[in-house]
Amino acid sequence: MKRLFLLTILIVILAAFFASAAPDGLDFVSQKLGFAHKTVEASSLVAGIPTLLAGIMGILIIIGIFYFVALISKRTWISLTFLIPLIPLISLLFVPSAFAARPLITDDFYTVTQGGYELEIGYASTQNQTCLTNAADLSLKRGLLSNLDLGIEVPYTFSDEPGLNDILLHAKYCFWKPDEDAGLTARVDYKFNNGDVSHGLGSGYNDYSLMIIGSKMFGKTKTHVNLGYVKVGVNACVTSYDYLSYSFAMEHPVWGERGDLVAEYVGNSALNRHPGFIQIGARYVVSEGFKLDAAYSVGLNDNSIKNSATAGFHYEF
Amino acid sequence: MHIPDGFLDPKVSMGMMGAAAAVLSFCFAKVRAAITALKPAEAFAAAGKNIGNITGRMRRVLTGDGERTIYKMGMVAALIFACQMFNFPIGGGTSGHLIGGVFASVILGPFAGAIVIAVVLAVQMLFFADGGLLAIGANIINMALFGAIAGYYIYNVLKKFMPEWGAISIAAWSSVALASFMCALELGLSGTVPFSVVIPAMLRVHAVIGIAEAVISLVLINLFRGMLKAEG
Repeated sequence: MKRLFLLTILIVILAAFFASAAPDGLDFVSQKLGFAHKTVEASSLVAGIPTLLAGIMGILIIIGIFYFVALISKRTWISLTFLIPLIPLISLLFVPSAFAARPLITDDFYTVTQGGYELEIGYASTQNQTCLTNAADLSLKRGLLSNLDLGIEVPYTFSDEPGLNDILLHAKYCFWKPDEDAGLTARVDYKFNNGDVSHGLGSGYNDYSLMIIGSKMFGKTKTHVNLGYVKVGVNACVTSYDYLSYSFAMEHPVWGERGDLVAEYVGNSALNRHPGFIQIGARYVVSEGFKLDAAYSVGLNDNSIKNSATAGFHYEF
Repeated sequence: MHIPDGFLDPKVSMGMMGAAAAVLSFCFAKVRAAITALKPAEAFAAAGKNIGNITGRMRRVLTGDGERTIYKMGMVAALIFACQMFNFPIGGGTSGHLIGGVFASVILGPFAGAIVIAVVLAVQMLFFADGGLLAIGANIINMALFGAIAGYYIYNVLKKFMPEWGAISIAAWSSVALASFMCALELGLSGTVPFSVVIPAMLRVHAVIGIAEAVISLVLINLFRGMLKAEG
């Protein structure tokens, strides 16, 4: 493997110095037949970086992907069985799992453009107090009016007992918008209990929640505050499991308009010592309406997660 | 041969995206079955107290050979990525580069080979602006399905009638010809350029590039096998 790696690097070095700059087969045909002008130039992450460095970056990215896959595949057998007694508690931590623009969990006051769609897909590997879970989350939103959107979120767990987690429906209504970057929005959520609780999926309860979202811009930094009340739909309950959720997020643009650094605090009052965690991450704007992101979060006490890594994308169309 | 955005119309690019998703999920299922094994849950019971809950269930785990296969896939993908950077001139102001479908599938088998090509295409598209976001489905169909999988079956059939180097060469040349033909078909279907013009033009250029593909594939396959053997 070592020799192959060296061979690969050698080829990259040779390519950096000796590769032909002439158009390749398809480019040549497109120029000759006169449809080359139809090309929509995509933005490149490595624009301006020397070819040699870009090539080595590409190689490391590719090898990294496969090593990451091997690492994840080795760990997913870790049993979720130990989690079963903790399901009601842990699932509560993730109820307000709706995120505005990934990787933030805190929502912002914006609603999706009227008639437009917003798709977000993310993958998260989370180390809870007792086990590791790997899950993907798909979220689709549709702008119905200029200040109203509807969304659905479908989480899927890959670990041990793969399956659908609880599906979430939500509606957002922006009722106060003094300018482009500040406003107040109300959001209503309904969470199904479709997840198979005996396999460690979902909380087993229908939840309703109402959340107020405020956003304001300070200089170039956007800040968002969420405050919500979650009604946990337990049948014939004696004690109420209802709780408050709260979170605070900041987004700061970097690299001109090409990226954002984000940070947030997310917590709730579901347990005696409020579970909470801090997340930091970054977004990269590949092209207009298409953003890649990655983030890392760390829990603040024993009732929260230990840590979690997530990566995903945001696409508007 | 990476199609950029703008050459394909939505119906072709979306159709190809669906086809690519179907092909890749089939490949993932095949590779997953090859690199994992089912083990009874008892094997893990030592780790927990709740034996009653988990006995009798089977779990899918990654095997040692499977893990080595994943690392090998990573190495092949990196090598193909490096070679795709190396544009060689073929005369007439044109250049070509390796597709690597036959190289990947001869070393790894058709399904792992197709996944490797798809990963290389995805990385080039996301980070290097090589190939369009909406055209990724078409690029995967051209180079992973017709380059790697079809190339592998051509190699597999020819191997019975001729020495291996002949089979590799012809399969590599055909994979490039097939991929360029598919690319031309997609351009024609999108109404970008008439079939009668684009098909001969694409095939003529790629018939020459295919010769280089055959030679490079032969060299890479021998190098790769030699180096793996030398390191045990």
